[in-house]
Amino acid sequence: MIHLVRLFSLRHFSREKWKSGLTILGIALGVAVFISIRISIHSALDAFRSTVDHVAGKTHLEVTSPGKGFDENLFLQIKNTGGIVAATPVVQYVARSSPPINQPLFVLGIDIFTDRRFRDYQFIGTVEESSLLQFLLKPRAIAITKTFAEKFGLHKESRLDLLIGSKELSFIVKGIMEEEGPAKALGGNFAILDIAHAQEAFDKVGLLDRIDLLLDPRASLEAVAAGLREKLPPNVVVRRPQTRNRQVENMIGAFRLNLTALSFVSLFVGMFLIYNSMSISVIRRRREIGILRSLGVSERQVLTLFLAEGAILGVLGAILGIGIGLVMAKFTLASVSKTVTALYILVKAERLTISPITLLLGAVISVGVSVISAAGPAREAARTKPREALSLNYLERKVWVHIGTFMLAGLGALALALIFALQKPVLGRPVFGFASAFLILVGFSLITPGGTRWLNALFAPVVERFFKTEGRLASHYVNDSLTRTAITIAALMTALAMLISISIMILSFRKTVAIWVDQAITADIILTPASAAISGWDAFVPPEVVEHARGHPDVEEIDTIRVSEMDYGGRVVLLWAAVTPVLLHQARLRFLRGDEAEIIERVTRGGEVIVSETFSMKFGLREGQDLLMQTPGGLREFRIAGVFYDYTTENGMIIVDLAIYRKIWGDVRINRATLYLKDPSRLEEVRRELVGPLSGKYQVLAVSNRELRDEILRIFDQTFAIAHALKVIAFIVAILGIINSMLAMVIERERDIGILRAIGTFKAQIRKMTLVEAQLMGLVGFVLGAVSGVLLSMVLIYVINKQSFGWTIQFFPVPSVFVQSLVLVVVASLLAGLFPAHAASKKTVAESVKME
Amino acid sequence: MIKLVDVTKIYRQGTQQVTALDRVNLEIQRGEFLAITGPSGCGKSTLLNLLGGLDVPTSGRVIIEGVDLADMDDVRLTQFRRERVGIIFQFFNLIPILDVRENVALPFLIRGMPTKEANERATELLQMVGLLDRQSHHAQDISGGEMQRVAIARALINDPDIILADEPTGNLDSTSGKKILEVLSRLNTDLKKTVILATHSSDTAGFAGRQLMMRDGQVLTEAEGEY
Repeated sequence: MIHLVRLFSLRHFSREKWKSGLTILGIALGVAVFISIRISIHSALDAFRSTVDHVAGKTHLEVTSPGKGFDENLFLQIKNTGGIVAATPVVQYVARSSPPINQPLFVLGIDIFTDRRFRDYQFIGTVEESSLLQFLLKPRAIAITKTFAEKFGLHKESRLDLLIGSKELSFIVKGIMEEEGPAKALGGNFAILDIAHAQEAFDKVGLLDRIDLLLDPRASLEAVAAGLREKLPPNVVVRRPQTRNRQVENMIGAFRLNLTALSFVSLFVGMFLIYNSMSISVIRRRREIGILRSLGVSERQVLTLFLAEGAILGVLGAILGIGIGLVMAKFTLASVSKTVTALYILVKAERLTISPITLLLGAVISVGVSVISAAGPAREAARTKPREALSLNYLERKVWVHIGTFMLAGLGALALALIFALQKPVLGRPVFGFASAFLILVGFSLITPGGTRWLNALFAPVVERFFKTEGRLASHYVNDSLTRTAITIAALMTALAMLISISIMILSFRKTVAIWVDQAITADIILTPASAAISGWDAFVPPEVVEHARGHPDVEEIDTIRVSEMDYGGRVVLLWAAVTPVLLHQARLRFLRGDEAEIIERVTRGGEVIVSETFSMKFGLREGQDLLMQTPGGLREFRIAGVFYDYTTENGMIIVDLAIYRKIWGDVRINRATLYLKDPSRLEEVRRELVGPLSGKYQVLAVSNRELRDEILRIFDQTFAIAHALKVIAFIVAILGIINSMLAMVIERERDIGILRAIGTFKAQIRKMTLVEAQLMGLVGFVLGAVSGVLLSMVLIYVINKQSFGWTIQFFPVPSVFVQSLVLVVVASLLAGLFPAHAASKKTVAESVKME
Repeated sequence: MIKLVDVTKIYRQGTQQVTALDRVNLEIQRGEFLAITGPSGCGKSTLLNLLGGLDVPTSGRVIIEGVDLADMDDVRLTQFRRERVGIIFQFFNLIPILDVRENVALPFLIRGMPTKEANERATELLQMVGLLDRQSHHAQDISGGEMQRVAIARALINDPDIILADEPTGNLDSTSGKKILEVLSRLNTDLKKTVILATHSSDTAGFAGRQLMMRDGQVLTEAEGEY
């Protein structure tokens, strides 16, 4: 068998380097995309895990109140609990270094006396001083990492300004840590303060974020945790530090699944490439196969031979794909990290986590896909009778005879796709949605031979009118070489369907978000702390700033908002407290059901809450039902007054009246103030008047409605950057398919081209015919791709997105998507046809017309 | 008149050189029916390729009506093939995706002539070769003899002066072959076409007015020939 492979297969590959090369490249791109996405997501998660693990150090259990601090007196109550050998209090904050550094900095406030049992800090400097962390007791002292210092040109005694909420505070670098232990957190963007200084700086005086605990090795972790829970107030939890990792993994689960599914598209398109390439190969080598069979090679051996060829292509594709994927991963990592940070949690992933399993998986998928794609042609090759020529005509007739069957099967697949689209999610995942999408692609692929015939007949008069005899010949060839053209068109159709459907989905989503922003965010000015973008809901607007704004003569109304993260049903949701009468007045929340005024009234007066659509979908709660929330006073029921459309967060949001929130939670801090002006045309003046007088004391941003809208849409565009890149790659694979197919055509049609040249056809006419054929394939692919793309976009919007994230997206099939796709197809088909057209016109006439 | 002056054609096959024609000198008069005979590999087909402008000599000159084909670029050679030459191949070389009438009309159409005129001319020629009733059939649906008659009709559509036929009966039974040769004879006697026929069969060569023998790339004199 090995001899057969060496003499027959490897020699064939080396004889047809271009074709083999293109096929391998197509598979390689598919593998590369899969690997780069997987590596990027792993690396982002790993970076987050690494931060959690490094900051946790040796901690066995942590006591924490997610999203809020808790009374520091709790430390004294629990540190002597049985089974605990050490405890240390911690506050933490993600600050923003002031320009020009402008980086996030994860700052840990530690008790220098108790923290060393939990975390190892390796300092550059005097051993005596560093071992006791005494230097941190000096005023405004901070310790940073060597990485951070070197990157931004800092050293001991350097000044480091940090934006913490609305304040800008100056610190002096008193210690520099080697990049070991916790200093590795957030890629080295890590610093430590003394806890007392930190509490003051972070406005957390009297509060802690965590108490880290070390347990006696003989003690049972579960028993200690159970014992602690009895002592802790209701809103404080005890858990392992790694629980946060699982939470984040759950949080980004839907995002990860969707991105992984997208990454398979290029591989799917690549399958057509391999199938086409192998089919043509079998046809061209039919004489060799016949000779082999007559020499005693069995059907099984021929089958194995061609499967082996598929496997060889898969192996070579895997090797090349892994190389390309690793390079690609550096770019996709940046995009994925930005998206995760924008949508979920701050992640600073600069290093790739390359797991051997990912590489192995990529290789296995590449070989698997190639062998599966080669199976059909391998079977045809095995059936070649020694004396029978497996002529192109024979295969063409087979396809023609079965066109009806293919159409029926295709329609059947589409019907099944519809049934699947109507099914509910499985364990919160749109499994049937993905199956439906796959079936749409399969269905249209099966319809392609019949669709090609029909569309070709439709275009033929126009093509002949514009391109005369060359056009007529091209049209004939598309029709009569269905075995080859249909597969190429199916690949292009698949890529275009993905391109169009993803574009429609993204544009629809964008338009939906834009409409929502215009409706829901009507404030003229939004006051936020300067570090809000980095620090999130840990950054507050000082009361003085709020009062200053309230007193401004141009401010008609002001809404103050407090937002905190909350654990609910294993997810992190937002608890949003706002002045609901202002909400009623100014913001135009759209509710799924019910009267807006009545709902808001029940929230303002009746203590009810409203929840976002995603919250309602994820937790199966709707109007009239109660939800249980953990408050400082214990579990409490809140009636849901309404469900509203919202696109702030995937995990969901609960809105409660601010006065009621303050009463129950005792938290008077404000994250944001939204101002409604009497005369919006005075916006710029009011901004200056609000911020200017306080700029010496506070760092507060006064963002206009337009600026906020633009920022929201900018983040939106950023999160979908990777989807755009993936669809382009799928399209490139399809174009490789056209080039491959056209090159095969040139080889296959050498005699026909020779005859045409012999009877007086110019080279330019041959080139024209080839280009028209490429364009025809492109146009047919476009029509089929557009129709399937629209159907696919509906599944993406109404099923996959809805079931993954819970959002309602309005369907906007924007014409520009189709126009752009058409232009892309026309240009790409033209370019794809250029090289084959040139090759076609290069053949010497005498050799071409001679038979073997 | 067609004139070959010291024409040599050498092919490279890997590292080897094959001399297909070796200093051939030949004159063919207008309106002649010439048969070139010889065993397989003697250079008959190569000679016909050069006469039809399908290939170029390695050295020497091919002059047709005073014009040296070597002076022509690819565009002019193609033009020459369109207007002056009709070629009939041993293996018919019809375009499989076209039907009989379209195959015949094709040379007319690629010149940019109107479809209606091309179809009318094709119909006339198919009538001439006795295949009008097969005009909507494809190549795979007709016999070898019929395919060759279609090829003859195609070769005539541009009313060329010269007909080149390379083993036109090589793939046919004797009855069909005879019919083809009779058609070629009529083209010469009735339509005054210059017909140059390459064949390994002396019986086939007997239809021509003059015969030349080739061996090892050279044209033998009549005294050297074995007829």
